[in-house]
Amino acid sequence: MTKNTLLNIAILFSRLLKGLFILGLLVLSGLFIYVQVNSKDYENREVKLSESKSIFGFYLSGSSTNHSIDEIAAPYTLGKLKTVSLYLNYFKGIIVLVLVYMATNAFEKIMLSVKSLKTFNSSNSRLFRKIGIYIIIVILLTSYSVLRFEDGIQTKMVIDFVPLTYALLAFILAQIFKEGSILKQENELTI
Amino acid sequence: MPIIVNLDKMLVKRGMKSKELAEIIGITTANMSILKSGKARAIRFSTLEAICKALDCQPSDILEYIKE
Repeated sequence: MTKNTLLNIAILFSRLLKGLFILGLLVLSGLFIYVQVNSKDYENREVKLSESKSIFGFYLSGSSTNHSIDEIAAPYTLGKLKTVSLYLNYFKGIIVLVLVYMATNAFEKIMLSVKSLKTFNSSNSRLFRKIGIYIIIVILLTSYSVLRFEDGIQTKMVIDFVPLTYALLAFILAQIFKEGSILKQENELTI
Repeated sequence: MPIIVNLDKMLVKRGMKSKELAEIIGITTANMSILKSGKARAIRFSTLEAICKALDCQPSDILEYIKE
């Protein structure tokens, strides 16, 4: 199994992904600090929640202001974004990145155990369950977005079935690996 | 488990060491230890046959069922 090219590529790819997630985390934090330090340069920049349309899911978005649009020139600018909303969205982004990193790390551990011929051990089952839980948390965190401004609010709700399928698949694999671990143990304890 | 392995008693009766028996029947000392300690989940007919042959006994001399 040590010469399994596909497995080696997958391990390398997961390490690369982990690096990219750390880089993303640093960029996000850097951007967060930079925008706050140079807030005057960006206060007129318009902020809009990204429109992510899913084929296998539902997407809802909306915005409202306290006054009529004619009364306010630009209600959704970075300068008018409430600090609490800015911080909440930043921490949400950080948590999502950390969870995705942890899920990739768990998957890498599984691949390394397969490489060292310890495929059906109980820890792999636990790792798949963890991946499923991480995906569920990420889905919950990313399904609802809200940006609160001084004169208005922007909301977005996404229910995508694709990541939900991934979570379900991870839980099924956890069960399969658990069964495999029991079978392996029984085989080892048959004299 | 209600199945008791009386391998120790038979070894004492025959004056044989477990290491010797393991060598005769062709299993590792680690597996012999698992068998003696009652941690084994199952025993192959071939292993049982080899033990009976080496100790000149019946399967009932080695395995015993005790109601829980």
